Amino acid sequence: MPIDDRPRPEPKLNLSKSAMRRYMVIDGLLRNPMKKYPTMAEILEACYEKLDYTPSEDTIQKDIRNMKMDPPLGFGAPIRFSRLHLGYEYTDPNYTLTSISLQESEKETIQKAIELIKAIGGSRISDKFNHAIQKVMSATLESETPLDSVPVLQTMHLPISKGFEHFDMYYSACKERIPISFIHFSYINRTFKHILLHPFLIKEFDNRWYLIGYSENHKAVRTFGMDRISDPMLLKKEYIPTDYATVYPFLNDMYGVFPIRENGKTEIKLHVRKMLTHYLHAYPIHPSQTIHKLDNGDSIVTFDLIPTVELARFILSNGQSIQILSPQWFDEFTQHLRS
Amino acid sequence: MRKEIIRYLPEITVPATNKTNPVLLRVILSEEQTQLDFGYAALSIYVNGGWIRISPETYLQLGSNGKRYPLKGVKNIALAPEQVEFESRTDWCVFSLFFEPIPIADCVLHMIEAEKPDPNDFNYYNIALRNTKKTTVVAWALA
Repeated sequence: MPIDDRPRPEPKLNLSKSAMRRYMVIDGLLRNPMKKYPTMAEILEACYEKLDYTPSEDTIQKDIRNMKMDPPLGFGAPIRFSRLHLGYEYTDPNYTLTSISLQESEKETIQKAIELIKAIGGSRISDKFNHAIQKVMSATLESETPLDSVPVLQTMHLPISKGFEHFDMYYSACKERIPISFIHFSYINRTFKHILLHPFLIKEFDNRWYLIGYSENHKAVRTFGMDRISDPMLLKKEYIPTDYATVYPFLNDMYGVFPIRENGKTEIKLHVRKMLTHYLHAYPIHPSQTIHKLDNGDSIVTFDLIPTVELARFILSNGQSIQILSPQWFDEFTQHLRS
Repeated sequence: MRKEIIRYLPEITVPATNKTNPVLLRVILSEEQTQLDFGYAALSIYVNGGWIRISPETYLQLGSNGKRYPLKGVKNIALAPEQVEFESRTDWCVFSLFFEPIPIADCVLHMIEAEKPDPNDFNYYNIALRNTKKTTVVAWALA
C-alpha cells in the first residue's frame, strides 16, 4: 500500500477552562517576589481564594506536570520543587506562563480583534489557527472574558472548499520559500499539467482561494485556483524568487485574479443604472473606481485597472443594470462569456 | 514539524504514440515504491462520462532488462472488476498507481495493464525518466 503522506493532526494541548485557571493561579504564586517558594498547601489555599473551590493535591501535581511539558502539549514551564525551601519555584526567574503581561484595555482590544478574526473567517484558515487562538484566549483572556457570550458580529460562513485542505502546506511554502509540485486541471481546456511552482502568495477573492507564484512551466508568474490543484508536494530544490515590487502592484490593479490580456491597466467605462449606482457608491469594488452621477440617478462608473474574467462576470451578474461603454474589446469579451 | 522523506521526481518524457487520456503526469521514485500520477477527463462519448478502473495485474517493466514490478496499491481509482462511475461528461480525476520500487536511476520503462491490450487498456511504452536524482521531495508529515 502507498505510504500515507497526508497531514496528520497535531497533538493538542488539552486546555479546559478550569485547568487553565489553575495554571494561572500557580503561575501567579511562582512569580510572586513577596512570597517565594509556594508550598502545595499554599497553592490549594490560593485556588480556593481565587477559584472558589479546592482542587485535590493530585490535580495540582498533574497541573504542574502538564505545565512542564514542552509545547505544543504544555507550556515548557521550568518548575521544580526546591528541597531547600520546601516549595515550588521557576528555575528561570524571568519565565511567565503567558510571557506577556497585558493591561485590561489591551486585553479588551485583543479580545475584540480575536472575535473579529473569528467572525471574518478564522475557521476558514486552518485548525492550527483555531487551536492557536484557543490557546491565546485561554492563556491571556479566559479568566476575565466570558467566551460563550452571544456573538454580536456575523459574516457569511461557507463550507470548506475543495483543495483548501492543503492551505497549511501552501502557507508554509510561501513563507519559507519552498517550491512545490502539483497536478493542475484546467476547467476551460480540460487538460492536466504537472506544475512546478515557486509560490509567494495565497489570495482569496470572492471566497475562492488561489496560489500565486513563479511557474517553471510557464516561465512567468501564474495564478492557480486551489480547487484545481491535486496532490501538492514540497520540493527540496532551489527557490526562484519573484520580484515583489513588480508583482504586487500588478495584483492590486485587478478586480479578481485572472487578467484577460497582459497589456496592463485600461480605463473601463460603464453605464450603471440608478439602483446599482447606490450599491457601488456604498461598496466600491476597486480603489480606482470613480462615479459620475447623471441627472436621472444613473451613473458613469470608471475604473483604471487590468481587465479580468472576474470583472466581466461581475458585470454579467448584474444583468441590465450595467452596460460597458468602453473599451469595445472588453464588451465583446464579456458578451462572449455570457454564451 | 516536518519530516523529510526522500522521494525523487524525475523529468519524464512520454512518447506521443501513447494515450493522452489518462495522461501520465508525474513519476515519484523512492526506496519503498514507485508512484505514477495520472489525470483523466471523462469522455463525452459515454453516458454520464462512463467509468474508470485499472487491472490489478498491471505492472511496470524496465526497458533495459525486462524486469517487472507489480502494482501494489492505488489511489482515486478502482481495481477491476470494481470501477469508479462518473456522474457527468465533464467529470475528471487525478489518480495514482503504486508499484514495487524500481531502481532510483534514469531509465526507460513501460506500464502494462494488458499483455494484449484493447483500446481501453492503459498501456504506456518507453516512458523516459531523466535527471532522477536532481529533485527530491520533502514529504509533509509530522516528525
